Amino acid sequence: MEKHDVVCPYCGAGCKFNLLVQDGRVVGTEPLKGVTNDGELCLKGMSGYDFINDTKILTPRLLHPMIRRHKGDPLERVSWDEALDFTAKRMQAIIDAYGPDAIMTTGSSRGGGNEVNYVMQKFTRACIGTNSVDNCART
Amino acid sequence: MGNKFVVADPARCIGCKTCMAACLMKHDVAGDVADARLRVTQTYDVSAPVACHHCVDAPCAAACPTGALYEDPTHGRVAVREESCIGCRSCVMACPFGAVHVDVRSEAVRMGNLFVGTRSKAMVVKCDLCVDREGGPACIEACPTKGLTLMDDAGLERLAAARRESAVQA
Amino acid sequence: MCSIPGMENAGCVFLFGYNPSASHPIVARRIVRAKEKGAKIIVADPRHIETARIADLYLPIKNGCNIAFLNALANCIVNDGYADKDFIEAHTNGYEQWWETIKKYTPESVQDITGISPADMHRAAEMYATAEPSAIIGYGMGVCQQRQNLKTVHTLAAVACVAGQIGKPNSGLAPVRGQNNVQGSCDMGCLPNMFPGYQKVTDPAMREKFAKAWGVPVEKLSDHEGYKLTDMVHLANEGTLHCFYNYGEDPVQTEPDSQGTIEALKKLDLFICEDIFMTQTTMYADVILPGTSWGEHEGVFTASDRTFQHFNAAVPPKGECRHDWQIISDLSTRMGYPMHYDNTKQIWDEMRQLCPNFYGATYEKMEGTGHCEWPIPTLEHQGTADLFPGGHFNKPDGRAVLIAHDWEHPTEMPDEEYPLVLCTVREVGHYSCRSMTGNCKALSLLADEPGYVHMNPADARARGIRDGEIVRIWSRRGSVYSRADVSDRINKGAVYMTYQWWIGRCNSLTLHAVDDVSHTPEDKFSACQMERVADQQWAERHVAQEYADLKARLAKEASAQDVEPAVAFSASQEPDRILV
Repeated sequence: MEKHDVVCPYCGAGCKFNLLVQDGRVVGTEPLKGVTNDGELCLKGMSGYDFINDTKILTPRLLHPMIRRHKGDPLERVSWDEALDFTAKRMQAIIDAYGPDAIMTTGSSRGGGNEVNYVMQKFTRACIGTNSVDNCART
Repeated sequence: MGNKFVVADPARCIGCKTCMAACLMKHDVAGDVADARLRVTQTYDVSAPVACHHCVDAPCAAACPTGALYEDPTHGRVAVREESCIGCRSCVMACPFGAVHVDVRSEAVRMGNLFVGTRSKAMVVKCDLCVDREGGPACIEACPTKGLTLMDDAGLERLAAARRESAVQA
Repeated sequence: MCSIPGMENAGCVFLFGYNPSASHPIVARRIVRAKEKGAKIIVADPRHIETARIADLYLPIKNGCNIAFLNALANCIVNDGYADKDFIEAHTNGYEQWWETIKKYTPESVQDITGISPADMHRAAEMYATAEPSAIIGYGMGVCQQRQNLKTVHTLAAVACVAGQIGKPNSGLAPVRGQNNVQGSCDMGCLPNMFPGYQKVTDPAMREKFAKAWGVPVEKLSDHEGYKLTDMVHLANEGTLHCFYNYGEDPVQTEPDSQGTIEALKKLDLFICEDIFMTQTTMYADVILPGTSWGEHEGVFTASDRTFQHFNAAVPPKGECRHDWQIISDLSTRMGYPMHYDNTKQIWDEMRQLCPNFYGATYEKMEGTGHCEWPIPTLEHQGTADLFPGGHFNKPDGRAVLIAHDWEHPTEMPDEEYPLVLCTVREVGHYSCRSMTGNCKALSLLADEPGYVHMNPADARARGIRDGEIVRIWSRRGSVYSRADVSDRINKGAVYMTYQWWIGRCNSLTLHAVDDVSHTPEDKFSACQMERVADQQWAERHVAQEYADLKARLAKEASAQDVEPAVAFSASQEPDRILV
């Protein structure tokens, strides 16, 4: 059984615990003596791990890039290259036509982590050229 | 030796239901019912999980016509013989704590490899003290405020001694 | 401004608009411990929440009264002689002007608004202001998601200053965050007015610094603040916003007025979603970019109390999922601004160089259960548990400015047609839009659709509603079904819905009104009405069917990913075709 230490993604308390992994699947948790949780977990930290395994209890994981070629088309799975080229071209066209403030991005206050948020705001500011990047702090 | 039971300290309960999640996960295995055996119960002033008290003279066992509920002195508890349960729910009616319920689910009836229909199967769902679990009851271990304890004869005696002491001082 | 563990060591914990047992059980545990160590607990909440049970003083405030209540509390602190004159003198500005407003707010004058008797108000003032060695005010969404949210925070800060309960260990304000990493995304500059590390985008020196670090001409960095997420709907409607790149958020579920949000998303020229699940938001996207999940990537989160902690990956990415920072860097490169990182540590180290307050928070310090509470300005620094030590505030003269505001009533007051206050709250066993916890077996078995609407027995009785029955709740925005949870812990005249439910979706009902400055929606106060559904069997079938339909719709949208892209003919395939 592998153990990997993580910080709980479910609230701002910041509890530390191990994810227990067997055969590439997360199968359990084990609390650690983190600074806030001191060896304790609540029900979300303790049992909120199996979504990673794509249980499809509520809704499926996204596993491949998809696009709609035109507004209202059905979604279509494409390669990463095609998805990103499509996105880059469309975003650039919007910047060219309406300026960078016609685009808004978000960071994520959930499972992504600070590094992604840093990269997202840098992309928004240095590449797109707008300060319209926000997060769900208000909800 | 008397029976043991899980008891909650309402002053420490924060109503978070972590005990329920731990109980459910412990029983989330093939052949068992993935459901919590204890229920966090909240009134205006009190919050605490309620579970089977494993009564020595258990009304649920007395009410059971098939012996599906029985005194298990080895583990100091009221235990369940799943295969004997007929789903009459007399135990649910008899339990003064509302700590017993009956789960009914349909299971396939087969003849060889042939599926010939379904039938309902009942199963008593109540605290089993996690006797097959290393480390004892899952709920006690999981409670983040350490508000649950396994009460046994020695624990009751300690409690009574403390009460007597405060009675003398009063 | 204290740490979560520090709460245990305060002499008084005052919870104001914060229900830790439901939103942060592990913080609630600290409050139980504080109580056991002898702290006085004050709870001001319209509901008799868990912590109210162990409170020394429970104040059943009316919904929407925050500033009136706090002004009256401040009034009592001063008039009853508990003001810390030395602290006010040495560390604050603006006392006289502040008092001009506060002096009007005697507890008697606002009793109709607050619902609190003058006697209890005086007791609260004494208990809080005289607590030794310190008192903490913990506040949550009950403060933030109100019309006068920012003004309420000003008022709270002034209360702490005037009582001298700030600027020493385990004191001041302890704001708690809804999402796990709200603090972090703000720290990292996912704010329309701030670069990483709370450095203003309108400050020319900061623009210069970031332009240089990022290798772009300074003109490339916008010199004005951007738009806020809560402006997205009206900007899309008025045609100002053409593209919305939504990373890891589910605004249809979590923002007010869901239907309004959906209509706005449909108007965009380009709607990009980078997410791990097909959600009610993702299903409207023109581009879906599958990121890796927590558990599949590493990084750093910031807890509510400014504590950086590192988390590891446990399992490899699924399918074609890529790390979010890889996706964004790749896209940026394709748009002509090359970004490349080998790992998250490189990103983190670049960020540290640019943010003086975070500089000392290295990955090395965060190994295992290591942690760094910012400000942590140097490599040797051990982090800062309490802000404003010795009463030094982050103003040029080091003094806090006392600000008072007059109370205003919430935007949409109950009336004859919509007599109930709808307040949105949290489900203890679920999180945010529920895409994560709703896919966890144990958590789903413990609580599932159509969720619950919590109500007082009197409001239930008046409508013939029994506990556990399906009810219909409606407002000027919409109508949903949910399950009644009748409890005398709930105040009369208000109903509470947890915002995790997709069928019993409270945001189909909430009002999209935001405050002027922070643009935070008024999720805690909308007017609504409810009724018992006469045919309960029909209602049970109906909600089950709605739920099944929604899940099927999401699965169908996602199923496009099961069809591999058509392979273009390649030279090697041509001969085979000819032979066949």
